[in-house]
Amino acid sequence: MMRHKNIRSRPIWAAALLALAVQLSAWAQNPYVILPNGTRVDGTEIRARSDGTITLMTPQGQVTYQRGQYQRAEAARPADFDRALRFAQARQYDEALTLLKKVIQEYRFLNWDNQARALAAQVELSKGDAAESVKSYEQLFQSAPDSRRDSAAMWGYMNALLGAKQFDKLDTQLGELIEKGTRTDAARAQVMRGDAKMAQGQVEPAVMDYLRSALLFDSEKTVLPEALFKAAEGLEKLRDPRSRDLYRRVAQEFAGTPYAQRAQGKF
Amino acid sequence: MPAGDPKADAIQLAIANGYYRIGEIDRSRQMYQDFFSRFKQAPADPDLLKFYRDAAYRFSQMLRLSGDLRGAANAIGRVLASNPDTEVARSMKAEQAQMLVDAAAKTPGDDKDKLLNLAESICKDIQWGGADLWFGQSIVTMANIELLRGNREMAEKMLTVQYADILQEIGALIKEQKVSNALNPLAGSRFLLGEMYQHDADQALQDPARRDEAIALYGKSLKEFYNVFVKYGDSDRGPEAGVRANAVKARLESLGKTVKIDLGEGQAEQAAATQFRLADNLYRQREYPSAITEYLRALNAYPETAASVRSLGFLMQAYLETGSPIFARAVAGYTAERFAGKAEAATAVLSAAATANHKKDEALATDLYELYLKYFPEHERAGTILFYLGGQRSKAGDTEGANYYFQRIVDNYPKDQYYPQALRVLAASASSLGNFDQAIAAYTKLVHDIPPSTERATAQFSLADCYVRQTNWAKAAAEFETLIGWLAPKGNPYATTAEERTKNLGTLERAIFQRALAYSRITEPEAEIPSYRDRGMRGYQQFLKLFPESDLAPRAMMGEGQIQLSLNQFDAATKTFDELAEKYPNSEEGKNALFSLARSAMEIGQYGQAAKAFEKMLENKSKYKADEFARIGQLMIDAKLYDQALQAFSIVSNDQGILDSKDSPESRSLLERALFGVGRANFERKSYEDAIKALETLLREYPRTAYFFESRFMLGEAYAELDNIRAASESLSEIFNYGSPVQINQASMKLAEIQLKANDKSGALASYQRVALLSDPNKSEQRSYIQQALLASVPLAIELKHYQDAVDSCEQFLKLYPTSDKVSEVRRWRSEASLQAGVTGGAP
Repeated sequence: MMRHKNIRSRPIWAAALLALAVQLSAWAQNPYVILPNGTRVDGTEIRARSDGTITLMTPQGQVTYQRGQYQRAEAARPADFDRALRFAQARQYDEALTLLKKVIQEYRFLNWDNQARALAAQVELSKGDAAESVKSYEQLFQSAPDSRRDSAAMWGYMNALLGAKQFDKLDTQLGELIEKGTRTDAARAQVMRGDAKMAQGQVEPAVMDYLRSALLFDSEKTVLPEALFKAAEGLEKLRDPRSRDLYRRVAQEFAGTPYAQRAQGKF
Repeated sequence: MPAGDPKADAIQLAIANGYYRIGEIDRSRQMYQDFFSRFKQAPADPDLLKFYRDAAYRFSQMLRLSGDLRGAANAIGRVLASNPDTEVARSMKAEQAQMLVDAAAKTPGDDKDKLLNLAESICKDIQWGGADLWFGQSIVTMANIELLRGNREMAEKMLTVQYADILQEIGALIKEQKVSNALNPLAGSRFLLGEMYQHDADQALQDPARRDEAIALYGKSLKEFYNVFVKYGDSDRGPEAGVRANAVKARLESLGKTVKIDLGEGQAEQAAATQFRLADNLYRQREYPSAITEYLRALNAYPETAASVRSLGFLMQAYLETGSPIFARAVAGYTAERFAGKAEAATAVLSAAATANHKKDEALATDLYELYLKYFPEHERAGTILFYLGGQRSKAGDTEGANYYFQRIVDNYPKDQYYPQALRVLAASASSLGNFDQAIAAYTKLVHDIPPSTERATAQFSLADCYVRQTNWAKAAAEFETLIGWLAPKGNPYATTAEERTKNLGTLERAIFQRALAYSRITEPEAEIPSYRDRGMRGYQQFLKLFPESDLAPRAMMGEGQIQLSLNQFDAATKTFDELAEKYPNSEEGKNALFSLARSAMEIGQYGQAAKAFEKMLENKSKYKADEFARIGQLMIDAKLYDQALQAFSIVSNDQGILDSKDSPESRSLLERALFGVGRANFERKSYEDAIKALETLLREYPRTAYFFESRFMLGEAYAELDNIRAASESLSEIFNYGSPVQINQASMKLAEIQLKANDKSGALASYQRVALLSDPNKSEQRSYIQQALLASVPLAIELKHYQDAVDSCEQFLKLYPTSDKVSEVRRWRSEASLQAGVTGGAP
């Protein structure tokens, strides 16, 4: 049996995130510290000790902040980070990861360690090492708990969990989104849960997840063609003739999408 | 039936209404027609007239909702023929005219013209009566008539110019007098305008040059529909207006236009409810495919309102009615997850589960009930559903599955009405399976949680009895003491009726006996033993004094003898047993004193004393009957004293007198018992050849012996022990010819075991499959064999590459044992086998 390539394949998805990171690279700036009251103190040089103490060189002289005396500290954008990005774009993943590890070590408490963790997770996923990507995301969430609220990071994490076949963890994350997330997130999460079930050979439960998004999330146009197509594929596997109706819908209502092309001739 | 029997008519029409509600439109219609056919004219009696008129109107509404508009108009004609007052007559005429127009819209040719002409004459009649609400309705109907006649411009002119002012005035009057807005003629007027503009827009869109004009017309149409939808949602046109508005909105969006319609929170709820009504009507008419389409349309427009949640239940049921369980299950999952904890959602899922049950799809029903329990654990019916599921599993003979549900009630719903019942069933089940710790915990909880009653007394007895079965005599004695303390005092609160008192007296009798037994068996602390024995002895004496005629009395006396035996008072015991034989000569215990003594000694583990009694019997063999040796032999087997058993049975099997009369019923019975006993004793002593010899003799001499099946099983095992697999198989195969289903299952399972031992995997698989496929899963006694056979056959089938067999077995298992702890493992096997079956193209 011929296997179809997953349309939302890893390289395309990760490349989009990498491109975003490159855009952000234009934001070069001086080091600074944000105080608990929100005041920003700019400096020319910054260092962090292993206990989290920050030393900022300002025009008025050197200032030291103990942990708890600042909200956030950030160094100037490391050149190694940009080099890593370029390697990643050129698909030289190992080189990129070596540099990112260096940034993580050298910029602890200075924000770029977390940026590097996030990028490393994406690079690892692009490289096909989903298990490492999961680890990187989890380290990121531990180091910067707020990043859990970052939608891109969470979806990246869930993609990594799916790739690494860590279905139990993934199921918990998806379950929360399906129950309490926005309708967009719920629709997307249902499709991903369907993928996870399909990967475990559970065709019928997978179809039900795809169907939920296909039937009851009509307004989620970014998810709908994928949900319809995958529901159709699942029903076809179950030899359910209604698969043809769903293929027809994909082809007619979402013409121009890759799913519509694949649905052609199936109804 | 004569006309005008109000009671009978009321019953008939109530039944007809019931038929209508469950969608049996034809039967309902027939009953109404039968009713009307009995009246040549409207009745004169005022009460009956009112009944007749109400029935006619109700019938018209039923017909209208089921799509028979002409029939509905005719039924309105009956109301009019009953001479209602002027106001009612005008409203009926307005409604009748509109029905005729709606009917005309679906009718071609001359018939259409006739209907329109009739409607027109009714409208004119209304208009002669004055400018009121019904006048306004008649104008809209007249405009509709013109439209259907093809006079589109005239229709629009009537509504927007000619009668616009008067329609507005009527609308204002309705508002002022607080009459229901559902009757506002502006609803019909604006709906009709919306239709006209939409039609014009569709026409314009045919010509690319008129695209902008079409968009403008769609905009006008949308405005009219939404106004009807929002302002006159309760009117007949309300729901359809909402649907039409959404369709026009979608069309505008497809033309690249952004439509922003914000109804506001309150109005959104109202709008949603209105839109769902259309789907509800279709559902009620059993137009399930159309209902599904409308529900999906409404749910996607208003996904998370109160009306949406309720409708999800109907959507699930509509899917089930159209044979789409997977779609129903998908919607159920959505309902449960997105609306977890909400009562309406719980009800929706439950209604789908009930429909699945009704359709005999037990697996889906269970799945839906589980979904409900997972996402709505606080719902008021959770306990009831668990108890129902437990009952279902119990009926199917699946005790393990039943207990799974009852335990959940006990763990999670201590205040539920089914809590005591669940606890009682669990305790009894654990006790019957020999899980006494579990049973004790359950009975203790039950006793603690329920007030004084016969049930509490029974539970306390069962609690104490569990300790007896555990031979925890001290605990048992204490619990019986508690129970006796409850039931012995006069006027205790454990009984309020004579029946309850009788029941409690029976419980008390058994408790006093058991208390004595328990005290007599306590073995520690050693220093206290004499005191306990004394209490036991006094207990038995008290029992014999209180209940001398009780069935337990001989056993109480035997208990006394046992206590004497345990105190090594052999002579005193002998005397007691002699007295027992004298007082209760017809009881089992009283038939033979020495035999009873030996039995008693064995019961209390005094094997030395038992052997002593047996030796005494041997010393005077001639004094004892062969039957008594056979019985003592059986007691020795039970006490695992196989050498003595062999000795006792051999006395019988070698008794020349018996052998000489071996065909007499009495001798035959004794010889069968003795030969089987010799076989059994030798088997247990691992003297397999001797066992085979005795058993083969038994089967040869008495091929129809009552020990046939037990002998065949034992022979099978004995031959297998001697590695004579063929003889073992042959012996078990005999059971297939004569055995009960359970015996055949047992033989098949044993045969599979022997075949596996001989590495005959195909043969073993066939044996397991015979059990799985030929047994009846509805018979509780066969279910455990099916379960074992399926679990054994799947890995074997996979190993032998019989993938389709493996898949089928997994499916069978999942269907029959949905609550088993092996479910996930079986699912994994099914996936593996399905994959392999797909790769290899099925089983070889």
